[in-house]
Amino acid sequence: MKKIGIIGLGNPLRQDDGIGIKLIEILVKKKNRFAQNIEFIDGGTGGISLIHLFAKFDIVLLIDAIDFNAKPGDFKFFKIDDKIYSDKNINFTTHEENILNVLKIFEKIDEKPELYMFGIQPKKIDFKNKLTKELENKIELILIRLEEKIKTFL
Amino acid sequence: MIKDLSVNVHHITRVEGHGNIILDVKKGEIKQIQWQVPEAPRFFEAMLRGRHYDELRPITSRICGICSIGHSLASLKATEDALDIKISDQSQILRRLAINAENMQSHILHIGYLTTPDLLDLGSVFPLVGSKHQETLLKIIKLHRISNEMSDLICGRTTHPIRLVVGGFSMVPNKKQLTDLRKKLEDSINPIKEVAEVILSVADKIPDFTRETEYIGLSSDEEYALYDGCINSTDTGAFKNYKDYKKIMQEYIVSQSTAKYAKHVRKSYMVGALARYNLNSKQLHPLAQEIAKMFEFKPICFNPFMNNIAQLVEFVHNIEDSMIQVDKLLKKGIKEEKLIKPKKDTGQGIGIVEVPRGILLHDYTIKNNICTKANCIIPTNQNHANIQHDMEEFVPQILDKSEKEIELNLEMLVRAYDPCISCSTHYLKVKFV
Repeated sequence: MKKIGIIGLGNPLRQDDGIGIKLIEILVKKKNRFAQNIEFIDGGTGGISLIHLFAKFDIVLLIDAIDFNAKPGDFKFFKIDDKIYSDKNINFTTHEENILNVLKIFEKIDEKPELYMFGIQPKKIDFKNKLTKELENKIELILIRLEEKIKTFL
Repeated sequence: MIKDLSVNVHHITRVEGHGNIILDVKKGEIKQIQWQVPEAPRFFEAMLRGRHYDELRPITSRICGICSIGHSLASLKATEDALDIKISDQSQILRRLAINAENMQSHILHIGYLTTPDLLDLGSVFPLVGSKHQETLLKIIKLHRISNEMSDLICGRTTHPIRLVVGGFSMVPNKKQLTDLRKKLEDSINPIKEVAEVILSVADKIPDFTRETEYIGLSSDEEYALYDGCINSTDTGAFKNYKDYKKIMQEYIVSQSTAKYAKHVRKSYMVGALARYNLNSKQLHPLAQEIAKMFEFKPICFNPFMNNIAQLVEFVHNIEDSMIQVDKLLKKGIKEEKLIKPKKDTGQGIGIVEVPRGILLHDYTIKNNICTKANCIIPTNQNHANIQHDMEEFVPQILDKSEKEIELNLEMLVRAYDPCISCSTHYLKVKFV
């Protein structure tokens, strides 16, 4: 049976940057409704340190705030593969060493899982420990779609 | 040499957060040297006001993704100091393991992924894959993984710990888990020795630059201080009363930076692994002493670039110390314990610990179990002024180098401090075309 890791990323002290953590907290509460081979993890802002977690999974889904020029609360699901992060048309940057770049090392040592991203467009990344109303209002809809995507891994 | 130079490094890479280096030289005369920190202030202290004391630790653990254990421990110590809570011996030992785990995680990441590429003349860690140094990289990854597993085991997570709570631990590892950890720690000794050999083979690339400054860190009669101790200075000696911290860590504001600067008796001071080494090297465990000797590393060392070697030495010390702490737990027999309850609901408390980048302090005032005032002094802010003054003295010594080399040398100087300007946000920008 494939091992699946669902990892929420972000900082709940940075307003909508905390959406990944908020979603993972909700999923953890209802984890009994999911298959046993799925593990839910609050990855916070662990950055490079988190990649060691990836090694124990066959499939990893990252849930994170991503800015893709959409309306607040819009979301996008995509596979992070060579095409995505080596494609010059697509530019990934983080405040830390680029986590996607670091993954290349793990690919070379045969430890890279299949990696997917469920990204949510934030409205504001400020110093507040609350999501904006726009995102708060869309959480239920986001969860329905997110759970659908998780089930496609089974 | 008479020349014009304009170095303008925006968002220096391989450091946590955003910092800029500005250098302007006209006809051989230095017009401007600046270390700029342009990030928005974060106001975490304001987020703590109005919160129940139980919430302070989880909130502050989110300030930083690398020092989340350190912030947790400073927060718990401040809360427990304010509410008169004395934790058990077992919790004290487990907290020492937690702080060792964080130091190991952070140091190996910094040495292995961020600074060694400079010594190997590589722009980043990625070219190590498939190169003659691939074996070294695999050892570094293994050591990083052991450090993470130790955090997982003791704290319940790799980052943002959950088992560290007011009054003790919400869950403790069992005997088998501790025995397995002991074995992994022992197995990591040879790999770190081999990594040290590789770094030694390129140690001549470490710039030979010294500037006398003050070093501040914790010191203890009992041990190489990380979890506990009193504030100590290479200039003035130890301060017995930690409540005087504002007289020592004098924070001030400068125009080029949104982060605060700090000074004590000189115009700046340094905190971190080099400061701890300069203050307490005699208390390092034997193998750590041996590694220091390999590099002819002796206190007091005024070369900021040697901070990375101090991190390497501390990593070895942390492995040795963790084995000692695990042995103590196994000898006494580890058990689940009830959390120690507060003896009062109002008070002021200060928590000080050493985190990878230096001395970290939380100061809370709690009234009727609610936090009414908070002050956090973080290590990187204490180092900004020292970085600036190092640059001012370093640049005239390297002006004969090419612009590219000067830029690299200045970046290496900043990276040596391992600054954590803002690792509090994880925010990905994606452009789909």
